[in-house]
Amino acid sequence: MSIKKDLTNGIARENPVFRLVLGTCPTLATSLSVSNAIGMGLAATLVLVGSNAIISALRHVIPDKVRIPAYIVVIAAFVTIVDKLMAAFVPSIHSVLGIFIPLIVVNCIILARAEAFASKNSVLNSMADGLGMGMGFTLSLILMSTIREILGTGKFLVAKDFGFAGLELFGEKYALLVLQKAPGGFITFGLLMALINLISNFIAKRREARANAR
Amino acid sequence: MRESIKLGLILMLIAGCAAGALAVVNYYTEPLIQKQQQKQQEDATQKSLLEVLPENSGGAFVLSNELKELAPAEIRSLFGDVYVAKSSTDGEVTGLAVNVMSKGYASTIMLLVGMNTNGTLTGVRVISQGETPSIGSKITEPKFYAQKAFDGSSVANELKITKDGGNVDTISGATISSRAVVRGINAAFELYRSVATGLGMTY
Repeated sequence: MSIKKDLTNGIARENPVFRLVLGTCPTLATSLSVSNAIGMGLAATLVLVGSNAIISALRHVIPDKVRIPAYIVVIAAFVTIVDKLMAAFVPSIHSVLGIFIPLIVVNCIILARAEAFASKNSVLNSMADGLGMGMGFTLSLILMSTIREILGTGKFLVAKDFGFAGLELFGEKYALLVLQKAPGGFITFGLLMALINLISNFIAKRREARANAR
Repeated sequence: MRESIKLGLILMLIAGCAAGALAVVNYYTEPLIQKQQQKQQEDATQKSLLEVLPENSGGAFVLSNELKELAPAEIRSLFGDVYVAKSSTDGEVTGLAVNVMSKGYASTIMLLVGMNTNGTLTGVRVISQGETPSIGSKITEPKFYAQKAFDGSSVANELKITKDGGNVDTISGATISSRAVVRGINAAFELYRSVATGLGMTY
């Protein structure tokens, strides 16, 4: 497969959140505001690219029987490095994301890509796959958090740590507070997944019809 | 048998490399992180001193960490910096502001508590915390730290959250964080009571 195809694969066709349904826990937890979503998405992308690269480079060294513990060690090391680097150089983002950064370790997108892709493909392709999957994850988080932030708080793009109060679209008393809580996360996630399935079914049907017509 | 030893050794090698990489990263980032945290806490404390003791407007806040020695031994370690507020005109003591650490749900919460010389609570601010985002972290919102129950309460009485039979509003879903803040304030009250006579304060 070409590198370009690996790169775009994660963004739409095999979007980790809405198509592969992986990493739903961090998706629900960090999609409260767009700024959190971007921070979490970028941190996860960094780990994905790094762990995919290392695991792919070591794919002939790691014995099949102990591959899962080996992957976990590599992933955990990467997450800790990202965590430390963020705490040292971008403390404001780090303090917002708090406990969610260590939780990237158990984000199953990363282990899934190590197992399904990086262990079978070259380093460059694996990095492209990691980047694509990371972008797909980030975009999904942004989509979810845009809905949850606007409808849930009446504001958009609040980033207190960067001194940006956000745009006030409507008063907080008209906001659907449930969207900021866990149930709202599930509701948004379910509706978005239904919508995306609908769209992809529609596209598939049209493609089929066109093929038949020909 | 031989195979499992080989597998174990390979795994050990990978884990060793990972540990080595982490040690290097930690060596370079730890001092930076410590400095960031300390700077953040100091900045926040300096910024909040006047907020928790508005009566001392224009006055000085004198760092007086030796006062901690007067507090009961079992709570002494909870206190960070202790400031005695002194009026600008005659240098008289106008109150006490103290950094208190309190163990919350997911982190150690650092507070700044201000009390005037009558033994009245004049303000509480959360200096640093790592509680669950958007649940426990609500202790940093004015709705909680500037609530009515804190207003003018006396250092002579222990504060309690509503769930424990007191009148301090509890953040829903964050009982432990709310309780931790109240526990920190109570510790500050205890420090006040320990140092009051020495500084000519009453309660």
